[in-house]
Amino acid sequence: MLYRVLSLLVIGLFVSLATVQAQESVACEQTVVVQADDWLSRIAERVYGDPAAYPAIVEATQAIAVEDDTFATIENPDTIEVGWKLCIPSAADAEVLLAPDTAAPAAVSAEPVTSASVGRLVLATTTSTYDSGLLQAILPAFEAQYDATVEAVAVGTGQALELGRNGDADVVLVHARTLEDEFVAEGYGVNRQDVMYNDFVIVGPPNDPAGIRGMTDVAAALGQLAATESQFVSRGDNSGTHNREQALWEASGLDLTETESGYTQPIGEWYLSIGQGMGATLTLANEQLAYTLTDRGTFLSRQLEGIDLEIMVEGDSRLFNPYGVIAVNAELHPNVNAAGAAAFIDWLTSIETQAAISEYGTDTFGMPLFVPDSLPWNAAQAN
Amino acid sequence: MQELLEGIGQAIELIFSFEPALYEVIWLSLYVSGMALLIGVLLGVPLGAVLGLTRFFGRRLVMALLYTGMGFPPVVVGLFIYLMLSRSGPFGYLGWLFTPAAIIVAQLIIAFPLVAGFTMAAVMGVNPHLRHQLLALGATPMQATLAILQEARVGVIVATIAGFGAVISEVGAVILVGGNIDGKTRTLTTAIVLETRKGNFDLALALGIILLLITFLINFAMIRLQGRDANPS
Repeated sequence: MLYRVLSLLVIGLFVSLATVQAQESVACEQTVVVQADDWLSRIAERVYGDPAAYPAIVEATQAIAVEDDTFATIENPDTIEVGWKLCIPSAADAEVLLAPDTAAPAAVSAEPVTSASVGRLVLATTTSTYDSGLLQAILPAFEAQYDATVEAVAVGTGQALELGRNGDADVVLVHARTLEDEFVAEGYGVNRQDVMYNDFVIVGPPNDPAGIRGMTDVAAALGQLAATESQFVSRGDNSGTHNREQALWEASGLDLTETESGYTQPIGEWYLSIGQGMGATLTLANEQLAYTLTDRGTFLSRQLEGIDLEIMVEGDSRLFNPYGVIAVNAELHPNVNAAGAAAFIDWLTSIETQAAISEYGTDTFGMPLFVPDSLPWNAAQAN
Repeated sequence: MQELLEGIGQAIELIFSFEPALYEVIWLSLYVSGMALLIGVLLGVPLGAVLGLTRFFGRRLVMALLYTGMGFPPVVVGLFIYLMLSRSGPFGYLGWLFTPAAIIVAQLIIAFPLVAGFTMAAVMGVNPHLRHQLLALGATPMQATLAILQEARVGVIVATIAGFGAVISEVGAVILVGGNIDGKTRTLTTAIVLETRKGNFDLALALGIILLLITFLINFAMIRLQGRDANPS
């Protein structure tokens, strides 16, 4: 008797689950196979009598293609191919699908959904955003607004992108434009957005044995370091900072060598490649009274804790350091929190967050550490 | 899984590539760990023997310190050595920080309690009457101690293996006091950390496999040594 009740309960559960599933998935009233000279709006006109209703077909087909891969995946509604199977919802369903789109016309990221619960979001980021204290300052606002728990993994840009490639992170915030573009081009990342920038500085011992203090041409300053054989500590970890450093050595016109790891660096005992984060690199440079390239944020926060090194070279446009945020492609890694990543990117580039970024650091260091640079922020500044 | 297989393949390729940079790293690892172990054995075995064979005031305190040392977090050892050798520390004038010497000092502090502690335990396991008998037969205290160590050699070799295993695989202290400088203080373990941070998981894994292989070969050699001595023919 008990068994029968239990099995009935289980069956009931499955049935109700199945109905929920059915309600969520899209019902196709008919399917259409694309013919030569077909156009999405032409099909829409044929079935609904309204060419503007084509987004309903796109949405319905996209939704069903996730479950049934005989349907086409439409990446760009402007290009469809002969033989694609499309899902045509009923006219009533089409109206429902079209409604939210017509209500909110192209207001990109102006009004992020605040009620959504994002949950656990893994953010792979560079050590500089974390070591400078920026993330700890701005993330609580996101976590409160979206009921999210952000786990920030602070590593070098190389490892951050690798975490994204393996689907171990949901979103990455890094600063190495070529590597970022590669990441997106390879299909691992989507929705790359500019976030902010800060700048690099060359720091060195107060007595400045190489005599580069105050120079504004960073390439010439590096040349002088080499000429005086003054010790220079390199991150040597393929991080964003290290990539920038290599580009600067290339600009210096010195004789360079390529290491087995593929790094470009000058030749000489005075050049120390240590393969560690910014904090450890500054510690080592400070102990050895050597020069190094650092982002301003990490340097300023270390200076508060007591470090002898001082800023020697700054202000060269080649020291400019832009940060980008990229969502990990959910098509490659279905387990990533794509909705959370999208909400995070919207929030990070929003005017409110950008304003918080523009203020961060002024009360502690007397100057902001980062300059906001997102599209919405720049658009608002232009007005 | 794919990465694991690639790592094994790359490890084999690396070993036979005879890249000077790789051999430099392997050599430095063996050099610093070997030096630390040598000094650790020279100091630790006599101390272990003394603690195991004699009774003196404060012996229990020394034993407690030794046991604490056996469980010392290596990274704390590294931090301590760093502060000692820092430019602003008491031994900063030596200029040892970020040199192999600093790594040897840190590894010595990690290996020494292990070697001394295990030696002490091995010596205490030898029949206590042996010493009395040897002394009664006219052996000097030194000769008697050497004979007991000979009797406890399996335990002493285990002590040495434990010390070696602890230092060759150590990374926290090594990266703190060595600085992982390319061509100067980069060891196998710090290279693994670096490659992992860079996202080169397969290369990191290959280096890890090489490290395991070296540890295995050395331990195998030590066990052979122990086996031959145990059955003198």
